[in-house]
Amino acid sequence: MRGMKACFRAALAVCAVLPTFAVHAAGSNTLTMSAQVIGTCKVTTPPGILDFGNIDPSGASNITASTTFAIKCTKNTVSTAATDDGGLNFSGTKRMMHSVSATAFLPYAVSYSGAAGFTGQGFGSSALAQTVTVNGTITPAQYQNALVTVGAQIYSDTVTISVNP
Amino acid sequence: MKASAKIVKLTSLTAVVLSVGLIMSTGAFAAGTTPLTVNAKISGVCKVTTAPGTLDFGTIDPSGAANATASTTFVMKCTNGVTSTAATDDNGLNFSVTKRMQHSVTATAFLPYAIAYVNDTGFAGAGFAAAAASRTVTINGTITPAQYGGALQTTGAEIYADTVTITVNP
Repeated sequence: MRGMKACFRAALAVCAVLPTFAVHAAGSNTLTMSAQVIGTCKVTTPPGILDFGNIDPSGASNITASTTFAIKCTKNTVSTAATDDGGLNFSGTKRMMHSVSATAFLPYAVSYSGAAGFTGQGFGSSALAQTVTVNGTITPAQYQNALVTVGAQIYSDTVTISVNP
Repeated sequence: MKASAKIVKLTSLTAVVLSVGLIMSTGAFAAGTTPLTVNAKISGVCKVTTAPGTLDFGTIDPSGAANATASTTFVMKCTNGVTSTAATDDNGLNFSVTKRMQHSVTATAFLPYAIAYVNDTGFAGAGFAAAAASRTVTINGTITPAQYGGALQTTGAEIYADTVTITVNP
């Protein structure tokens, strides 16, 4: 029992590689103990706002914005591409919705860089984290005819990002 | 036998509690998903999409008694949802009480004139895409006999000229 406690205290990862742990009590009672550590990545620092700012719709260049978040993964687990739910207003593309005119949308796209290929070091506070950059783009074709925002009006969306595995 | 089995179970429960405690202590925030807030604003502007031609008064006969006039046009588009207001200008390079063209050789000789904008206000913008509706604004220029009657002659390639910077609004 003491050894098992010590095992959990030390590190779950170590337990995972232990063979099944049998306890023999008096007679024929057998209790089999085992543990598995899942290979997973988690967001440890959430992203800031992906703020495209105030867009001049007469422009001819892509409008870009970026923000970052941090992930950690199980030791020796390699992260794969981040995914997302398409946001709250998806229709063919991600779209922000106008805060007053609910029928007015501003399409945009996001991509994630640095999300895949990170070899996790675990979740301890000193374990290495990976910074993932969220790059947002709005093309002229997407913003040129967008409805104006007056005063405190704003286009916004909320995307739920998943890190993998 | 029952007693010993119970002890084992209790101990394993203790171990589980300990391990949960360890996980909780590793970090304040860790989740497989995270919300991303996305924001943008669209400014309300009008822009000239086709620049005006030259406002050319031609050759003026200073003995005349009628206003000399000229006109040209430019085209503008505005943000979807924005209504244009009056165009403004910087009064040109030689303003003094009125706009003035300057003689190309005799720098102290000026020819006053005035301009007015027609159809610059009240245009409901539809955006800036190629197919978006646009508005043609007319610039009407006027020189009165009192303004040109005493003007210095231009000979050969000499000319009176000015450059006005027009701003469409908002």
